[in-house]
Amino acid sequence: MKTHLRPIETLRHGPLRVDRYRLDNGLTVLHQPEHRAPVVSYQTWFRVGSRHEQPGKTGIAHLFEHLMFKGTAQHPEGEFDRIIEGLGGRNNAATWLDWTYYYEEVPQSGLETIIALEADRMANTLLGPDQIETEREVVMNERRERVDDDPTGRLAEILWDTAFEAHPYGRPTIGWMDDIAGLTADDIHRFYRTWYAPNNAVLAVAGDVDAERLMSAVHAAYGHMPAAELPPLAPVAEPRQTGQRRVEQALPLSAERLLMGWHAPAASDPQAAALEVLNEALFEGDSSRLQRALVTDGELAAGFYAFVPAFREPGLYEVSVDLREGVGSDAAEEVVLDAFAAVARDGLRPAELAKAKHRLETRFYRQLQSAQQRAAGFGYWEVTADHFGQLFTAAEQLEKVSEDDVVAVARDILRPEGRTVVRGVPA
Amino acid sequence: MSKAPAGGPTGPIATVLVPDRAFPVAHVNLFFAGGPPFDPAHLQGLTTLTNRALIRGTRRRGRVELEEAVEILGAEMITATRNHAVSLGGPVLTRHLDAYLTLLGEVLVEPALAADEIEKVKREMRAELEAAADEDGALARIWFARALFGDHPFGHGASGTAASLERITAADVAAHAQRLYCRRNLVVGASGDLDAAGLGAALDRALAGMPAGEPLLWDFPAPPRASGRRVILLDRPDRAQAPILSGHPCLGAVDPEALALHVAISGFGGNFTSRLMQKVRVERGWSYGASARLSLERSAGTFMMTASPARANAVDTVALLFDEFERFAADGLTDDETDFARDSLARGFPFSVETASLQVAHRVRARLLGRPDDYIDTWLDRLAAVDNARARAAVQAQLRPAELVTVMVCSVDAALEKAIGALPGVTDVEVRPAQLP
Repeated sequence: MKTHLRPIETLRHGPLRVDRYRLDNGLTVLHQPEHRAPVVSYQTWFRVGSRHEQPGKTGIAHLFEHLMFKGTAQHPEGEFDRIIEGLGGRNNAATWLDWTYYYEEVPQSGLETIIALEADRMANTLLGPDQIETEREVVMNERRERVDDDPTGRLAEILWDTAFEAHPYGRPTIGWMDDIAGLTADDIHRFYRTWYAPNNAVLAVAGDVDAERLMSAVHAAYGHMPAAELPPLAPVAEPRQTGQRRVEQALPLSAERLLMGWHAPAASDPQAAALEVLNEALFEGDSSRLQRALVTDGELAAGFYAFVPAFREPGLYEVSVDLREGVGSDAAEEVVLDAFAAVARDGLRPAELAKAKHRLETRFYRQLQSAQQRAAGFGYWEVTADHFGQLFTAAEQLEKVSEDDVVAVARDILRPEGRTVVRGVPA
Repeated sequence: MSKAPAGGPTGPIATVLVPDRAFPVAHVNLFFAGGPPFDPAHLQGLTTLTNRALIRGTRRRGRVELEEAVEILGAEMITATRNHAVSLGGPVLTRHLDAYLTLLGEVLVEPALAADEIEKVKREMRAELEAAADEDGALARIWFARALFGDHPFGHGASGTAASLERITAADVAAHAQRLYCRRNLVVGASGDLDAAGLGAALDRALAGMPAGEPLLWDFPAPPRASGRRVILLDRPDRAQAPILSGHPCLGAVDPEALALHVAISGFGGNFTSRLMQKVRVERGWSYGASARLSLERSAGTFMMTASPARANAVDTVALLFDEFERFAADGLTDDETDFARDSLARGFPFSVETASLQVAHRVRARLLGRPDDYIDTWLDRLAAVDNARARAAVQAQLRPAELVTVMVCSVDAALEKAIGALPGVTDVEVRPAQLP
């Protein structure tokens, strides 16, 4: 058997089997065969996101994601999307702190076409001035839509910027408007040549394709590409936050909005699972403590959400509350802090712990339904925790979380003095 | 796939089931034909309020106890309101399926509908409406639906208005629940790790006390047609952007031209390579997205174009949408564009039915919209019969560029109002504060 056809690792979980391959140039391929529907999800995950940007150059990872659709010598602008839509497929991309990923979902007959297109643009994307300027304008409009004119987007940007003093996670992935405006063609070319290389990429492929067909096409399309010398990523330690930070922002709102953040562990940290369980018990579902205290019984808020970060490095646990008209955000802040203090003091009731675990178990299965979901799960964990199997390990860790673990998270992480608070108040 | 005939007073419950044994989880949703058009005009929001109040306690257990009984199963009991139906159900771990179905039955057959919980839900819905008014996109959608259908029942907002919610009494909710939750209105959609015999027996047990009732008949007059191009400008100070919705009422889901029109609109604005995206985003960079789509309901749907330009490009973008729509409505697509749109839809069909839950969703939707039960099975054959002549005929018969309602949220000044008023065919420009209608 040719070496590129031989998996270097196989992992089984229930009905799923995932094989890992690695080409000589460092390209990682994760393959999950699944023949129930004649479709395939093909995803390319690059280990580069806004965390890798330099001050003054924010937004470059995201702008470059847009530019990857602008064509190559072989496939001029517009052809990439037209070919995929012609296959009956769909495609898009996303950028966040640690990664950028591109996905295609196509009928399985289109697999070789997609592989050739993705390999081509990994190495040969053309970046002319007209394309850069048009796409810069598109990105500025995206920023206006998602941040400048979106109250929650605006407050979230302020929250992360305020909470992080040293770590680049505090910079917005979409970029500061002035930085987007100032990115040069040289910046963009340099970014492309630095980070877009086979040894900085993971292909996650799920669906109706067998290994020999997949790996033969991958080898033919990517095998000749040289590996790049990737810059070392200097670790940045965020100093422990010892006092609360507060910002008030006037916005065109009819009611106050509250965003709160706490520095939280990296995705691969053992405490991450306990935070997930605590969050589930307090914030998720009609019977959760905060649903009752903020909405159903307390009648303070129109809605709320809580976000558990899952990044390579310690991120920010985020709680957002949209207050009802006439209700001050101080009341909601007190309710949230009281709930954390109660867990730190008394833990969760056994039924709450069991309920949270059952709900997380259901969610785990629900996220494995489609080929796109499965490929996304494997790609995400491979670039975030260095192993796709963390998708399954994380689920197992959730099951093992004890009440003591949850109490420890409430005490260590959700400290009142470690919070950052942003209040959006009606202008 | 197992299907049973529509449920009668004592017959089997109409069920669409697609088993999938890959993981130990099931999805069960109970759909009841109905929806906001059935709300009396002065009680808008009644359907949504009733459905949400349903899960706030039963005659056997209060809200708190019910919520905990559901969620300890790893389940969710989710209520949703669509224009043509309401639903109740959600995912559950298979090992808890029977217990979950028992709770669903208890909620439907023995709801408490307590006055204090109804008042709480009313206050929640009012707060959600007020919060939506702070979001430009949500506010634009509320105004668009209202302007499109006026006082016609299709213009009833699912969440009602502050005034209509205030008027709804516990007696209204109880009466509406009795009308809505009956066997003759019910279709069950189920997928995942379950089998027909077990599900059927469990549903029979759980819903034994549900009355047969009378089906809600979808018998509404045609919605009114707009005259001229009406523009509503919702003024919000200091906005960088101007979200735009533009369209008109259109044909219903069972109209013979619906599929041909869907193909044409897909080519016009349904994909990244379609005309609108190319003209607005790719060529000009004016908006992150630009699209056109056809939303189909039972007897009337909506044709809608969207874009979200910077305020500086707002007037030019509206003008461009008008111009492109006028050209499209007059000439349709080219042969190549129609072939491309049709073939893309056909080749992408496997994604529409990739998972068991998607298959169930299609079949339930067909039934609720009054389509034949084999609608999804014959879809590809009917799609293959759409050529450019049929697509163009549908466009020319159904789309009306001179009768557009356009809603834009932005910072309005006299110059912008005047420029919008000067666009071709605009007969009416209203400037309103960016608040709920």
